[in-house]
Amino acid sequence: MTIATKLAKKRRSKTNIYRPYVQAFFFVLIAFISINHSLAEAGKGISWLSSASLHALCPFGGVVTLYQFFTSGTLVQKVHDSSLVLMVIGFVMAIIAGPIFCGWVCPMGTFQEWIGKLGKRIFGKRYNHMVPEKWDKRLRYLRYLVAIWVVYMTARSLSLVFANVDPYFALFNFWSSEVALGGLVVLGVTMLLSLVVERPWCKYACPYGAVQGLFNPIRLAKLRRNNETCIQCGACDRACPMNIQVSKLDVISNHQCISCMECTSDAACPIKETVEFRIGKVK
Amino acid sequence: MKISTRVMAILVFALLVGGIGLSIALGAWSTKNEKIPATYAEGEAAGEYNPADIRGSYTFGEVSSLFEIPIEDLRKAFRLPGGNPEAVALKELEGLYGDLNVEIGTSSVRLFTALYRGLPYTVGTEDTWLLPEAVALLREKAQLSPEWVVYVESHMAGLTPVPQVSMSTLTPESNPTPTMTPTPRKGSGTPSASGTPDHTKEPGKVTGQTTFQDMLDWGISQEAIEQVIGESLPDVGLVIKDWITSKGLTFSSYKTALEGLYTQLP
Repeated sequence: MTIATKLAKKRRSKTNIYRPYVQAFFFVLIAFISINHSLAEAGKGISWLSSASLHALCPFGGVVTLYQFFTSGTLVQKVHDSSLVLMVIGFVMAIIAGPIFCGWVCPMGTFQEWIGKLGKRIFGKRYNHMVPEKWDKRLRYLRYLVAIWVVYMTARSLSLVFANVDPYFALFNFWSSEVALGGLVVLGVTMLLSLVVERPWCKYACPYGAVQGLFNPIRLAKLRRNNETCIQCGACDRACPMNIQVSKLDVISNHQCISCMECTSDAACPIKETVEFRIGKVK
Repeated sequence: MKISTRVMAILVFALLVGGIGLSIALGAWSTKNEKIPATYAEGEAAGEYNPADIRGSYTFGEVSSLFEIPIEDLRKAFRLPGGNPEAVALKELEGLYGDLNVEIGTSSVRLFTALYRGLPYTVGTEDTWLLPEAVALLREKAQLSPEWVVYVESHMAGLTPVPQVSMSTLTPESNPTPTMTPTPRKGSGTPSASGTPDHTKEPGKVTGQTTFQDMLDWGISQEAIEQVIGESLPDVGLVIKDWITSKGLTFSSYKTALEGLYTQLP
């Protein structure tokens, strides 16, 4: 057994220790706010907790309302000023380090990862490697079509058409009559697929993820791999939830990267200062 | 400069909390809508509020105020409770009429408002339904094009389609529940419950008793009438409704167009 393999084995289980807590925090926060929204509508809301609707807390709402905002100065139905603010914050985050909103904040992504843990137990090494590469590559661009369709249809109809199929809204409102059947169906399918594919919604269909992914080639902090210290153990490849071949790249600017940092030397990579988020070049 | 996972975690919170805090300080953070609909960008209605932008969170009071529709008309059109109809939110409609096999909801209010106010409106991919009371109010107070008349009459919630029977012969007052059966309409030539025909010869109002001669007397040209009915003027003493129905056509489809001729007079 080589030193490299030993190191890789030794650190294989190491993960990004901060991210799960950050994700759990935002998941619980959104869940509580959503429940409080329902309670407030029934006149039983908790006063010290926000009772905002989920639409008000979704940055993608800001994206889809842009056309109406610039043409008539108003927002699409159900979208609020806060959505625009969150959209701007999401873009600032993306300019700095890519889709950190997806990798660290988005409760829908977190939910899929949690189901994925069960999938990993069931399918072991086959988990997240079951979709044929040929199909997988093509399907990864589907989310851009979804994004274009949603933005176009929203501008045309002046209504939040995406709410009818939004699994994120369905997840946090499944008890409410506001949820469309389409949303519940998409949520159910996403949950099932999450047992075999990591973050299927993010990979193939999320329109906001598509927009965020566009920032990866231009993000200020680059995810870099130091080829001189890399031992080619493949730990980074295995850790990547989005199946990016990190070990074959020097700078990871793939549109699917969600900046989760699972591949970095702070997590899966067994060699110090080899895969890192850096502003500036590797030493 | 390296960004570690710990720095990233801090960065996430700093950007979100800082960004939201800054927007609150600048007055830009709001999780509630201001309830100001979009306006038409072009056309004759440019600058007017667009009913297509009415949202489920609006109350009927807000719709009444924004679109200048008497709340009493909205109350009738959507069978709202008499106590405080202003406070009813549009999104509550779907719950009120959940037992119907079609949806009476926010889209119904949008359509009603647009037609009531004579504003441009495009029905979406899904059919939009109205209660019979709403249709009756529109026919009474709005200037509907023949196409809209056909649309609203064929989209009355709770009606079982009755072939060969014109929807225009329905009277909403006689149908308080969503399950309706056609009954003669007031002024249709058939005596009402009191036995007194509700007929007036008010100029410009085409009723079930109006003759072609009446229209000529109002100053409308023969050519204009012929253009609407699509053929040469028959015996001018004929009751318009009788002539139209004898052709197997729907009176209400022509009524609005014929009334439109009067309004177009100089």
